[in-house]
Amino acid sequence: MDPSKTILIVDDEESLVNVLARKFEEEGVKVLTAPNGKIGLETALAEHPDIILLDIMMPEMDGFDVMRHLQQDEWGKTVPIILLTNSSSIETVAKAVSTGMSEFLVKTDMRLDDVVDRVKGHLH
Amino acid sequence: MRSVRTKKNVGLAELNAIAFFISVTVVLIVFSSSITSLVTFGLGAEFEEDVLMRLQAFVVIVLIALIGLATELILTRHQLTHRTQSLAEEMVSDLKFSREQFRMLYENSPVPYFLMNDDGAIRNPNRATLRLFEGTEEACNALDFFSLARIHTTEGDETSKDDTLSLLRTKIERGLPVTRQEMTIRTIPGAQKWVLASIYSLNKSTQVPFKHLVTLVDITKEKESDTVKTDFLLLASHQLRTPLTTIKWYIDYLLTSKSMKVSDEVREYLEQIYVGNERMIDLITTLLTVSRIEMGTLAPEYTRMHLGEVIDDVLKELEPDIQKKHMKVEKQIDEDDVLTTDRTMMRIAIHNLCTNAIKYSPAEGSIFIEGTFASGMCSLTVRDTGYGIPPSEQEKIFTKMFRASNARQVSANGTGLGLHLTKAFIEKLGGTIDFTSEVNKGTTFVIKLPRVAPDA
Repeated sequence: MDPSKTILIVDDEESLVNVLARKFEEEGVKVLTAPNGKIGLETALAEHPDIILLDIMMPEMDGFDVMRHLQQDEWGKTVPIILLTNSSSIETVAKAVSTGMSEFLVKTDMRLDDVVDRVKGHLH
Repeated sequence: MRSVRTKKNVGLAELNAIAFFISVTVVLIVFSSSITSLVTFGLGAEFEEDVLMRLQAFVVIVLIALIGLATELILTRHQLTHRTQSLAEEMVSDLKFSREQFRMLYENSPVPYFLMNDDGAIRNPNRATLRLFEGTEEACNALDFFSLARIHTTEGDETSKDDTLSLLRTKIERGLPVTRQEMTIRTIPGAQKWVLASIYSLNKSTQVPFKHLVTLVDITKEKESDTVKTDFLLLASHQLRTPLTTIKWYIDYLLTSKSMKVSDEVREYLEQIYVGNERMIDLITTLLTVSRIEMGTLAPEYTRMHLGEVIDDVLKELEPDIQKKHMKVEKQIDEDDVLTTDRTMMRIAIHNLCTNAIKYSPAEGSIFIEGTFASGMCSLTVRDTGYGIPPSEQEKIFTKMFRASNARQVSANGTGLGLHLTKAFIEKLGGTIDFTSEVNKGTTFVIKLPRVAPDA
């Protein structure tokens, strides 16, 4: 992957953030992480990453709220977002809020390489 | 009480009439002998004693007969008038009684009832309505039903809510019945309640302004408990899956990382853990889906789809298993294979039937899949040449955790939830599932589904 690209991973599950960060670092991109939606939003607005991997169920501010806030920002409207969750019950809602620039993935359905492929698809 | 009183009245009238008849008869006997004496005296004739007696007796008999006839006429008329009167009294009292019964039922029914005009103004709210709206009768009569009601279609989409409500209004104005329409209403103090509204209207030409009878069934408690159930499942699915994702991704990282040096032996063990973990994920997903179905929180999402495409998609996923057992798969789907149903549920149902057909067939067996479409129905058949289901176990095959005794010998793996889930999905989609099976010959499953979504 292009080493000039930056990915922001926002998830409250530390172990998952770690493994994703290691995987993407190996792929050669710059990785930023945030442990909740609030810090995630701040980091996104300050650093303008090229793509955001965003968990939905998080303390402080959930993934949907982060998306809503980003929609109000000129840059935030254009950044690709991949919503990640483990709750298929909110699949419908997640699909409904997904815009053309975002997609929705269930974590347990995805292998790490699949996640990498999806990210690559957005970074072209 | 009423009938006793009426009988007593009739008895008195009859006694009066008989007494009247006797007294008149006595008076007339006396009167007739005087008449006879006067007649003989007037004629100046002298009759024999016995002729006179006979004449007198004849006059008496004639008079008695005339008076009897007159009395009978008077009595009959009297009785008739009396009967008509008591019948009318009885009918009025019955009507009053029915009216009172109806009023009591209407007033004290646990179901809220009220009358409404075309503009949504409310009249005659019963007690349950006052309880529902949390106000007095005067306050309820001042309400506008249409401004209190909201129909929720798409989450957070106000415009479509108003559209649906105006559709409902048109339906009411045209006098079409509304049955069990789910909606929310705002009470007088401002709280929101969930109700099922049914509205029946009198004939359109009726000149009564308040001609719509509205009943509202309060389902707020059920709705709240649904939310609690959904929240629980949301949490359960999240909490159970997160640690499994951690295991999955770390093993995956060890297996695919460029920087990690994993020996072949360790790699093999890691792959075993990975497979075990995947089974756990599948099991939890299935269990959660079963719970969602049972708790009634899983609603179908209807989309237009091609049956053939879904079958191809499933077969592509199962290709490695089909090849491993050298099985032959034959497929015959009608050209026009469009139906409107829930794609995910349908895919899981087909996946389960095909997986079973592969899993419970000996090597080199064959599977035949047929999709036919006729008169608004879709019929999907999945036939295998497998081990079959023993007749004694056939009635249990759709029950939860059922696994046929011969299936257990063939494969230790299996949750026993697949067919249970398949049946639940198909029934949720308004269809039926049936099967025939013969041991060591094979099993045939037939799914029948409507081609269009309900209310489409």
